[in-house]
Amino acid sequence: MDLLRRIFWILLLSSCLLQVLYSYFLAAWKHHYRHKHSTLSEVFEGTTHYDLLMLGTSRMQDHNNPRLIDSITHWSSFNAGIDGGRLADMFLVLNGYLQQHPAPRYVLLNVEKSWLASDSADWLATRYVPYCHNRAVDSMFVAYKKYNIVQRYVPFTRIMLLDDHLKKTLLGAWWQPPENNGSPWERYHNQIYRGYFENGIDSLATTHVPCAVPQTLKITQTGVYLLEQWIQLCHQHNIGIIFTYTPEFHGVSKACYTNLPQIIDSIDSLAYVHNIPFLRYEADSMCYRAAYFTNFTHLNRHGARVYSERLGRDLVTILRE
Amino acid sequence: MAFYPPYILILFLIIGIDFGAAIAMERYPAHKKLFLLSSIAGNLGILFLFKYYNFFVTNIKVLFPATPLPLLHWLLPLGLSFHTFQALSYTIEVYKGQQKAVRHLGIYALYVLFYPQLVAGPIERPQNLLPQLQQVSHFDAANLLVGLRLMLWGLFKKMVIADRLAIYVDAIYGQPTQSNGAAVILASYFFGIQLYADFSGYSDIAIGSARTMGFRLSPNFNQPLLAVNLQDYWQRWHISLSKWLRDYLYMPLKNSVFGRHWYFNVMVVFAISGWWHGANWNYFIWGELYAMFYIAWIFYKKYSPLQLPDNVWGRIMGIMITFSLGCFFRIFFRANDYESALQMIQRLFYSNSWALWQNACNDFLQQYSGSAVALLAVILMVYVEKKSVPDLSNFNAYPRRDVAFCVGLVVAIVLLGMTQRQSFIYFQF
Repeated sequence: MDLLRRIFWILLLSSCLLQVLYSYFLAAWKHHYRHKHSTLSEVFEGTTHYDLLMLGTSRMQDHNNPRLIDSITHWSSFNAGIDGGRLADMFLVLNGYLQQHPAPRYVLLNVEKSWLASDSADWLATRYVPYCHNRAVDSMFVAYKKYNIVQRYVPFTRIMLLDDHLKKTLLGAWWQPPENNGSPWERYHNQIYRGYFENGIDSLATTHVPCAVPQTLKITQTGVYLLEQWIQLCHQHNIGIIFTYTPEFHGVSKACYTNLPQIIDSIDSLAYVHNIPFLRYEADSMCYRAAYFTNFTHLNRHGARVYSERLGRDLVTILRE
Repeated sequence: MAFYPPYILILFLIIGIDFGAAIAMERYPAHKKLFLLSSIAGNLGILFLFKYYNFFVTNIKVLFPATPLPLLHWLLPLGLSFHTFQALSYTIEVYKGQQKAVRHLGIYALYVLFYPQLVAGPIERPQNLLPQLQQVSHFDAANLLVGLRLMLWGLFKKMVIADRLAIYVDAIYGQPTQSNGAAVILASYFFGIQLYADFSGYSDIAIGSARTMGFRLSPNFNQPLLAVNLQDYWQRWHISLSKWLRDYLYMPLKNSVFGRHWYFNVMVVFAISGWWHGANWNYFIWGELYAMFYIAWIFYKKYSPLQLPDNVWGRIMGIMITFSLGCFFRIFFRANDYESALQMIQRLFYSNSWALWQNACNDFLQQYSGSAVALLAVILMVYVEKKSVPDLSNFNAYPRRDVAFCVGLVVAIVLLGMTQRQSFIYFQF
């Protein structure tokens, strides 16, 4: 009997310790990745109604300022850009958003060139571990076999889903500045508003070489399939779709990709087939002004301001049409 | 290596052959040699067909390119070498009269199919396992505790040590021409530890899971990292296979016409041991390297006036030499093929300056900090195993220490365990 009691104590103590550790990790996540958390908690836990939901990668997150866009469109919008996000992430974010919120009137998707060239439906699973209580996130973890039945129902075992880098960062989260603070091109960025994460004021040094060797992107069936699935999801909820391609510095496309115009044209064709407006800024006059960029593909604070105003006006025009 | 459901029929075939052969040996003692030979031929025939046929044909074709033998595209059944040897030990023991033939097919089938050790051992002797299977087993809390603790320990070794070290080892062995000597040496040492933690981790889980049900399997390891010479090493590493080869191969050779040429017998046993691991020249070379150094060690011990002192320093030197030699031999075990192994050995002696050593260590600590964590766990592993009996049952006497130890293991596994790593290395054999 004593030995059984000992097994019980081992189970109890380990569970308690791990639960404390898991709670610490969650708190550290909220503290260290405060911007990511503010966006993802609004997406997966919030209930506010927004007219416009903006989806994309860091180029959406850092470029589209909802405050400026809303001042022009007189809507209420939310920027749910996920840095490093892939198409499967866009699907998850939209699906997760729809679990909690009423469907937005429009979704603005900033389509990335690499998405259609993706061979796999991979996604940034570890980032969503703190939000597994959202049904869409849970279903995605189950569908992709990212967690087993124990991890599904015993939260602290989800520590095993976190990678080494994340665990290390979270363990030291209270002793280091929050994410991105202090990095050279994101100095001074401190404005976080409805998912928008403002870059600093540093401007692009054009003497840098954007890419050593240009690569050729190949459109894959997986990429097209995922994008069509995403469009299907919007149609199911009667959500209007608008595609964008945000500005990037003009040299970058030639230096890094041999066939970027063809890729963007393919996105354009797909948008045309599905009757989706596509706002293209890859050849906009903004793209020639280094003062608007913090690096080759991301706008700085000034650029984001100019771009958000431009986008707001274009949205109004499109919707009038 | 694969688990392919129809392959279960192979197991049933082995069970049928050996079950029948053993009963026939008892019923017709005059012909028992014939039945033993048919059992050996049946078991080894299946093993040859799945594991060695292609290797044999490939080599024959090198010598005689016109040979019309086709290659077979069959997957290797999971754990075939293990359960073939276990099944063979039964018929050999019945032949020697040291084991009675089992008359209950279910019990015998359970002996071959006993799930905790089916895939990668320990290779059990019928005298140990069969009597336990024939008894009624009752629940025992002590067995449950010892078994669970041992499984935890095995998981810790696998997930925290082996799989973490594998990150670095795989990176270096994956690009043999691009690593400098220092990195190759580090990776080879780490592979030595990885292999031990991986295989002994599996054995601990197997022995532990059997123990939770009240069955005691034979220990498979006895701190081989602390072996002071090669002879000592083979008494501590993969004990069940070493004993199998000693009893069923070396001893018969010793009692045969080759008896006087013991070094020849050693070479044969190590060649078979190498090929048991895989149908590949790499494993053969690995085995023969061990054999040559083993023989050299015996001669050194017998005739050399310069012996290691019989004190702590002598033992430490012995451990270092034995471990280093083992790590060197295992380059053939780990490398993907013979050419890669030779490339790795060339690299060992290439660009080994002090600065490169510093670079390799810095790289390891910075880029592979995940693997570096495992080195701390290795110290714990060596300490715990040195201070404990093989099944860690001595913890039973110290409740608080036991609780702290097990809680620490659970937390370490959850916090530091690698969940995305490959399967156990010995599953492929």
